[in-house]
Amino acid sequence: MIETKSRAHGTPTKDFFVRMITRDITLADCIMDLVDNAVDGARRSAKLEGRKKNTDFLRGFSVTIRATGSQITVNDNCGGISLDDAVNYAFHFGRRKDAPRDVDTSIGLYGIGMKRAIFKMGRQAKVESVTKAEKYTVVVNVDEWERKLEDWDFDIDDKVDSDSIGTRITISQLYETVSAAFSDQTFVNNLIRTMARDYAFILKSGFEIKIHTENSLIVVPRYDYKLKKNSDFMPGLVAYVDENVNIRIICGIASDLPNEIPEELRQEKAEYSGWYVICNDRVVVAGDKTDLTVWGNGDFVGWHPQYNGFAGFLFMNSEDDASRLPWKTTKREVDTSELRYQRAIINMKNLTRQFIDYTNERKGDPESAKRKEAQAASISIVELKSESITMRLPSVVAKPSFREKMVQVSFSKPLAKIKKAAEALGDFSLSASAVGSKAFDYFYKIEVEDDQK
Amino acid sequence: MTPQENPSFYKVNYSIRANKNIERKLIFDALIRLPHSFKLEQYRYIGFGSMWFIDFIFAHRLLRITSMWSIERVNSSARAEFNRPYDCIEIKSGDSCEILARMAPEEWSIPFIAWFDYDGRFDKDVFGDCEILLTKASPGSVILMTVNAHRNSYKPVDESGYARASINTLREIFGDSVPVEGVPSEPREIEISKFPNILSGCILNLMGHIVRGSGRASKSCPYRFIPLFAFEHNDGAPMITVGGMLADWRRISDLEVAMGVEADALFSGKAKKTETLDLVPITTKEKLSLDRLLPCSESEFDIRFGGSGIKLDINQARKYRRFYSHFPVFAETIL
Repeated sequence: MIETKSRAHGTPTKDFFVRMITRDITLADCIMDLVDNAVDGARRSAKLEGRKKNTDFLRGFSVTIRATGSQITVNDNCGGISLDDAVNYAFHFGRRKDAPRDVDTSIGLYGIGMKRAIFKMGRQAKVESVTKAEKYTVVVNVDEWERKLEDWDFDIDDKVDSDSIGTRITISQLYETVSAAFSDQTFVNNLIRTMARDYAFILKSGFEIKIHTENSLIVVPRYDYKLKKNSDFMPGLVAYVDENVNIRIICGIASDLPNEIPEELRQEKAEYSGWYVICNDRVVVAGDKTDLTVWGNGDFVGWHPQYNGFAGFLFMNSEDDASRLPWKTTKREVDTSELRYQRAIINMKNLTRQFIDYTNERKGDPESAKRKEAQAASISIVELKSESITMRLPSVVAKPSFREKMVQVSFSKPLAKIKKAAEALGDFSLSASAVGSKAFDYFYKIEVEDDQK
Repeated sequence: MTPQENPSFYKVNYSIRANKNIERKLIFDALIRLPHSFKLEQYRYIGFGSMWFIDFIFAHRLLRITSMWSIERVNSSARAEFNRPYDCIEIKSGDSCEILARMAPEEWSIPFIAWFDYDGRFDKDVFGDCEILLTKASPGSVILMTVNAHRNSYKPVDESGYARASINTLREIFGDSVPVEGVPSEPREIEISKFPNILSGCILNLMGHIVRGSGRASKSCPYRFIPLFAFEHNDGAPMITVGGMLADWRRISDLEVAMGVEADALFSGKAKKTETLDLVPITTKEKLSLDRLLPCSESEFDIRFGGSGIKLDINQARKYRRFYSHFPVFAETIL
């Protein structure tokens, strides 16, 4: 018989935080967690300054990520963390219920990002903060902290090297794999591209992100999401409030659609097509082509390369409680069981159907459809201010009687022979498909047309 | 390299291209200066010896390497076999990708200097060779690639006659390894003069990325790629030679001492040698006259050159001053 005093232990271990939850997140997303904290700081400071929420709302606020082989520093000018917040909330594992909600549309919500980022990258860190009123340093020595089994707190020191208002997180004793990643320029370029994509709507408010490595200092570019708009094309827009969450769904044609699918299967053209989910202006899901959004979700059609060029955006904003949004702790996925999100998916499907109908119709006269698409100007989606816009797409009338029926020819030949044929055709830089096409034209002219004369 | 392409040795005697010749000497000069702990004499040299084997002769004479493989297309391998200058050169007949794919694990265990001097542009075949070399080579190996760097070689024309921007070709081949700085986005084109440098950046970034992505490590320290060379030479068409070393943690401190920089700088390519070799051909009389002015500093050279009566452009003369000890002299012999 079990004694009534017996209890099953539920105490967490430090190892779980240092070595387990760090596996759930990529290095790039850890860096972005630290940037998220800076963005929240900038929003808090901008609100305190009484700034209006326009395109310049965050102008002047910035974060610089500096990586060397031995340490990573994330330095912002976004107001710093107050000593009270540091003592009571910022280093707590998990967000406390009584934590102040002093940031509108916050993107830091679980109380895990900064600690997880430190544990993921190195064994030593210091978090220096300078506010208008105080300055201090929190020292994180992971080895020492792990040794003290019962004590979960971190030491606070009043020594700070800087007087500039803001927060500076320095992570040292980096893991070798982390150090190697930041000397891989391809990784850094990918991080810059990902940040440009995922912070596009925050950067548009004037916020700045800089990445400084041994080789370069790059300001993350401001990516502008655009959709086609003219007399033929108009993006669709649905906006509503669902249980205190502001929802805007926008979709349309982002770039010219493909005529010949195989040509358009190249990754770089397909990458930006699909659905985006944006929580409090932070892109969480980008270019999705899976049932995480609409594609193959329930009885909805799965993604097909003929949809390349389509882009849809689900914005979910919560002014006062970011936990109402469906993002997961890594901010790289959404919780599909969240009810507001499920309801939004229904609206996204309805808008997407109109686009799918158009891609089927345009097969009737793809040349005229392509001409119209090429002529259409584009509008930045942040300029679409209305509450509701009906999607407009050109009507395409099939013209089978006027149009020669085409068939696609595909074959494989040795590359060396194709290169020789390209030279014989007078242009060594011709693509393989161009060589095939020109060779057919040549044959047809000599062997077919001339015989018919 | 594919077996049926027009072999460039039908067109070019590799030993008499001045800029290529200087580049080769500079690269072997740098390799000789690697720390003794690397024991280069125990390495294997792998290259495309063609019919002339110039780089193989350098590797044997200067680095004392006695195990050498020359990869030669099937149709030409018998002639290459006849022309090989040393018994220690083994002709490997076939495509480079085939030869690499056939290499046994024990053959990969020997560190090598691989210099793959392609006739054409960096394409998917070259990418494949690059990937297999960097993911299988032993630490300490040096990998060099020479490719065409003329921008227009990277602008394929489609059926309608539209030439796509070279930046799109680079993005397709190299993805995020394309440098962020100094690269315009379409529809602007990369300037022809800037293209070789951007292409070098792409290849070196890619090499570093392949090594990191291979997940290979010793004692939990991942292998690192150390860029060593980014040369451009022009003997008619702009060509680049880029490469570096695959290193494990044991090699890093030796390299830090030898190159006089810290590890971070090594990994970021700060120690790599960069040269543009575009010296114009000069006459024997000009060469002898220039040599009589040397050695001296550039400022002193300018003064001496001004009074020499030599009718070369001052910039070309200055370039000659930098490389005069490597500048080749070709002469006809009667055999």
